[in-house]
Amino acid sequence: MYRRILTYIAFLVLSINTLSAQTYNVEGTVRNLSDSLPVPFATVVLGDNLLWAVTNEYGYFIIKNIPQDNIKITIQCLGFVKREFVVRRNMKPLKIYIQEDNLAIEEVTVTAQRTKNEAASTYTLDRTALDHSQVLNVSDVSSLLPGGKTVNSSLTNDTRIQLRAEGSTELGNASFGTAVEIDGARISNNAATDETSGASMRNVSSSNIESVEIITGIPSVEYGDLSNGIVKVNTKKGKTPFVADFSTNPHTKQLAVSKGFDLKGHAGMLNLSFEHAKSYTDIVSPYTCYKRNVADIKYSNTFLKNTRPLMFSFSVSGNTGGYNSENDPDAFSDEYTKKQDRVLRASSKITWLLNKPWITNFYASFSASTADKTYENNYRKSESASQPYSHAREEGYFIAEEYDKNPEAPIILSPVGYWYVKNFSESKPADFAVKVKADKVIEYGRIRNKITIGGDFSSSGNLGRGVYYDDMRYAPDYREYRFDELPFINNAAFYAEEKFETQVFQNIKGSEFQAIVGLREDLTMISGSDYGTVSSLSPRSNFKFVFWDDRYKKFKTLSLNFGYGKSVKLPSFQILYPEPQYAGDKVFSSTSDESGTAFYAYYNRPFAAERNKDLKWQSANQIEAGIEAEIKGIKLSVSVFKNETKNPYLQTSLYTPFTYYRSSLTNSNIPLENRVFTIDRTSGIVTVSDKSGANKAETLPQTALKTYRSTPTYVNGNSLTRKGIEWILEFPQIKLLKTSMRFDGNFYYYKGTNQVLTPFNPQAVNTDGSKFNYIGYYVGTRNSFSNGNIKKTVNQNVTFTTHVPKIRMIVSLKIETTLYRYSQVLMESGNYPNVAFASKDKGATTGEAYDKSMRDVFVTVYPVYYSTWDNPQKLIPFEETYLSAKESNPGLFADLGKLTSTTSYGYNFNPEKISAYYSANISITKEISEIASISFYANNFFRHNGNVKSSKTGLKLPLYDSGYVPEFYYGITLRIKI
Amino acid sequence: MTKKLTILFFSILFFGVSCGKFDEDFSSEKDLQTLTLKLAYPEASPYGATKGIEITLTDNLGGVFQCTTDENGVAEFKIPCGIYSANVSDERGIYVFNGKLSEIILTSKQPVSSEIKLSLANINKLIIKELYCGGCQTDDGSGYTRHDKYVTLYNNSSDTLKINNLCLGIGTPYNSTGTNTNYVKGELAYASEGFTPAAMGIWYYPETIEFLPFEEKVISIYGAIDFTVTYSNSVNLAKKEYYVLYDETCERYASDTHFYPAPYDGIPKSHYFKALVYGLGTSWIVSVTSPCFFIFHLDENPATFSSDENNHYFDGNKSGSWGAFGSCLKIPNKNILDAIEVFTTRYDGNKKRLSPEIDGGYVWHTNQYGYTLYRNVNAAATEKLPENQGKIVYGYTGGTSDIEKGSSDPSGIDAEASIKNGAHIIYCNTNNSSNDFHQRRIAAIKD
Repeated sequence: MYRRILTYIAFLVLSINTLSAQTYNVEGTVRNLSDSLPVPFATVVLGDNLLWAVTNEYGYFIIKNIPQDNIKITIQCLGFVKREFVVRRNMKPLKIYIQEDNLAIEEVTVTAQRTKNEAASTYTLDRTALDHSQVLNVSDVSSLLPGGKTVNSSLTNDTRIQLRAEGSTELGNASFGTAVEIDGARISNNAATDETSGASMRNVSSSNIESVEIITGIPSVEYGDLSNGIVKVNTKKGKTPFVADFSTNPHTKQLAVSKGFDLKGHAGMLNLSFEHAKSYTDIVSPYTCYKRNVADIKYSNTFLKNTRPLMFSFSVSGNTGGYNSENDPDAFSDEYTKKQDRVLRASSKITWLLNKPWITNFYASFSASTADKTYENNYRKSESASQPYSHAREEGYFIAEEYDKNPEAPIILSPVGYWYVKNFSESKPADFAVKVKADKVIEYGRIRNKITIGGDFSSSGNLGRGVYYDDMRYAPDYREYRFDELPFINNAAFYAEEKFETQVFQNIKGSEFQAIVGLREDLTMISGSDYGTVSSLSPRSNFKFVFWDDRYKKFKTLSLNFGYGKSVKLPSFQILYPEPQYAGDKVFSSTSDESGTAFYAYYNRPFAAERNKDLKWQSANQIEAGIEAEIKGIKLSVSVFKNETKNPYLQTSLYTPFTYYRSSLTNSNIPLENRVFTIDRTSGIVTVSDKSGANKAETLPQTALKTYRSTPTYVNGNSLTRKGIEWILEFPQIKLLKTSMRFDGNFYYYKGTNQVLTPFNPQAVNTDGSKFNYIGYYVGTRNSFSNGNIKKTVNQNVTFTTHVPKIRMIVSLKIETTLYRYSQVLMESGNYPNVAFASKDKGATTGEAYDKSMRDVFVTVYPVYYSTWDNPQKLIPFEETYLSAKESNPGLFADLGKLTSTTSYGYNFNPEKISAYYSANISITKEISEIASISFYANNFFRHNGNVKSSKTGLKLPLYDSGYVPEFYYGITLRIKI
Repeated sequence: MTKKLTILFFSILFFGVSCGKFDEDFSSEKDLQTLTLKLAYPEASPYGATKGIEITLTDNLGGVFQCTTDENGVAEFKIPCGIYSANVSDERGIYVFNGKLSEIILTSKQPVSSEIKLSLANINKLIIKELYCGGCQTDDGSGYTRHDKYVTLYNNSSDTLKINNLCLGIGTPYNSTGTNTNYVKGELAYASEGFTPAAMGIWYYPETIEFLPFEEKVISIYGAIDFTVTYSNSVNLAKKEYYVLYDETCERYASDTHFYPAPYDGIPKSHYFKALVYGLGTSWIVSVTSPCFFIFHLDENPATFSSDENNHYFDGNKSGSWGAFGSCLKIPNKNILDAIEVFTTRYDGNKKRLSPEIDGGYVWHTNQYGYTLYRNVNAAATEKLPENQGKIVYGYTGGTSDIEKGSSDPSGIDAEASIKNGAHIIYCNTNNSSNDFHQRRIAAIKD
């Protein structure tokens, strides 16, 4: 490990050279174009050489020791349009005017823009686009990416963002692999014990976002713990007017207020925002809802503005609320389900421009978050007969006892009558992270090196108690499993990245070659567990070749980019710590007395959770190539990608055979009212005694029963592939119509099969009536007859945007089409022998080897092996035994037949091509002077719900409720700025 | 008068000529041959050979000969040589055994012995008198309970019925409004196939069960316990004479103590039905809204019947692996003793699951309120019974005609009150739930 670190350092030292050039300063003032007043806290950044400044209260800035001539300067400030131009040596103090950002200006974008100058595919959504599309949940922003489909936003759907992936039916945990950061602080979901998916974003205020940056390509090595890209959310920072948003759609009401205060002098800026949003599940019964109440406080300041500026920010964000299935108050019951969604996040960040020969900037940040995701359920219960509730955690035979007599009994008997059961599942994920980073830009001649070195440490755990009941008397089968006793996941990472830039053709403006090469090492430490320390290396690189930029009038820009990289996703708590299982088999029941009370006995056996110490961390190998060009004002960008997910986390089961003994009471001389049942904890022998002493105790006969218990465990699946092409073609505005047109779309390909040998014990009985004692070992899964699928989709969207600055209005009509939608379920056995057999005869038990080109066939899937209860270690080849048993051993043939799985219909394996379909969605934003604006949207406003044709069945399917197009939906937002 | 005398004359003349011919042809023993016919009863039948069963022979000229069996089920004919066909019908209990043997060639060379294989005819005296399945309101007003289900089987005749392998089955889908994939071009695919699919599993009585004349047996479906302890609107199924669906050897079902709590101690184990499970699920689903419920008998052991692949069917006429979701047994319609088709008033889209041969109608049901589905009285047949004189109670008000899609017994006879009064009730049995059932306000066992 240490050798690797030393290697990095050596690499950096060798990269750094001490060449220096003559430097100069740039200074100036930034003013508001409309009133010429100074703009404080505007950020001034010089090109890509990492020098920057922040304006003071007079709008003044100075950047010293600039080594490069003819460099682009960028001025940015919240609420203003970004301005860029080139500065040179010997310029007089600059007088820069920046324009307020509103619909009165000419350049307004309401779509996701491909970020220029980034080697990796990166898209940016600014506030105007977010306002125009009225995004409620940050996870919905992926609908604005090329080929993305509009969704009807509601907070009751806790959708998770996933990049370059479609749908939850795909393998590879795409949403879990998609990282999300807010102001540089990672929003992790690793400590969730009940899911392995991306972080929930519905507790993030959508109104306090300034911009969203989405990196779908190969990200910098600065970013770890991901495998499917990253979404970076930037919240508002800087002076802003008081803004109040009132939004409504059929399911959601939202109220948000925010203001950025200039604390004057050197005191900095304070941004405050509050948002309340409420989404109802059912508009007819407005009780069940999800609520969020988010408050954000952010303090930011820049010290040492005229020397070595140090930008500091500290923010605290909190949310209270959550889901509450509150009943209609007129109804009887007090039943409810609540899921808390309380979050407290704090983060701080410094960026310090030291601009020394050995360092340019130093960055440090910390973030900490804690959440309360406790699930509370209160439900009404009634029983007319006592029920056994097992709380046993130790192995043995136990008989149910009345709670009042022995509250600690391993198995208690429920009362008879009515009561409420209140249970909680307390989950309190906590995350902590610190990051440090330093960079240095070195220039010699036309070559510029930017070297970044950094490290981070993160820790994730769960402080929740797990499931518990407020009154154990009413707790049904339950065993405590505390999340707060699980070890934290600690991850330390070190990385180094070199960004090399050089002008390629001396005479061609803007021609440039850019290479970004980086290496990241993650060390994951899970103390007190079987996993130990896991090391993972992630090399990443991006290359960009700009042939020219802004050179020709007609063919303005042309560039190519290529990237390759590996990224690693850390596992979740659900993967690391699957819950222990308990066998709780009924071994005896007495008869009931007149009150319904009976005595039940169970055999309890704990099965420790299988923690797979050989588990490898899921990773992704990404390749991307792209082209960007601008011809006659038409902007084109195309990205081609291939993502291969390696070692995806996959849940499977292990089966352990065991025997238990069941007792039966046939006849007894002891009267019912005098019977006392006892059970031997070890042997399971049940004895009936006569409490009057009149009769001798009776020992009940036993029957041995063989069964299995399955325990979940996580393994690594086989690799799966996603490929695609994304394109954006933007035409310049037709001045006469004030309308521009944009085509964006994507081709998406996915293929994933689960070829892990997976044991399964079906719910069946042997032909002799005994419990089914065979385990089948399947390629993938037995739960369905396929072990994966292939998908191909072509989406093409056309957006017409009419922007009339004079009346401050923008209208966008987005026609979303899916021109090609193909999918087919697969059964591929990989390295195992063929297990799928096709037949035209639906009752066939075998057939010819299935090939995916076959049509209208019934497919029977066999396990590769099977094992018996008596010898679970011996894997017997299935096909050979099964077919030979047909004649020689009909009983075995019938039993093994229960391990096979046959498609229900002949069309199940047919390819599914859905005919083309579309929806039309319109959004309108109108500003009413400076102080107010109204945004309105209507999704699928043509109410296009016709039929599409399915090639799989030959039938027509209605689009309505199909999920292919959004249902007709609308919403409006009134925004007031004071 | 002249016309009548003429008919009488020719009749006497015809009879005389016929007798004369008979006497003439068979007056000599040497022209007659011996035909011995033995009746073979189905193997699983509780009934076997008995004395006095009449066998009819018909020759190809229309001649008719009859003879009765001895205690071994054997009948011996001495008849002229020729070609005959034999018919026999033996009605015992609920069973009617029919047999037919054709092309019996009798020559003068030697006597002939043959066996007539009897099969059961579908004439049923065992009926579903009541199906209580919809649950009732809880005492605290929080909703309704749904496990208090029972079915009452009734001997609708004055015969004693003995039945082997009496089984209970449910149709598919479980709810009448569920997706029914068995329809092809508007018809049930199995309607013309002569069977009815029994979903999930069946319950069977492991011994021969006997029903005395007009006797009823109450069978608790989800627990022989007193539900009234907690739910006063419910029923008490903890009575020693009741039967129960409970099989502790069936681990899948027995492990679910909500559906299958330990039965009341007073009920003997000889009243327990056994489960034969071939589908998925941890309980046998009798819909709370709209079940399709039928009773049948099997000619062989249910396990043997179930192990025969030819008796397997997959819901929707699909393909499948036996034991997987959708597994059904093909119950021959001839074995189905009675059935009830229930439609729910709560939802639209009810579809029949029983073919017209089994049940030509349906009865509407509103669940959750303790309503029960009760058989209508066959007033004419009931009143005809001489022992019912003065015992029949009229003025029935127990129906639910006052609610939407409710119903009442059109006979006006209060069956339960009449039974208490000592009457024997004969219920309607037209194989049509629309005619045969009504929705009663209160479960009959609460009366």
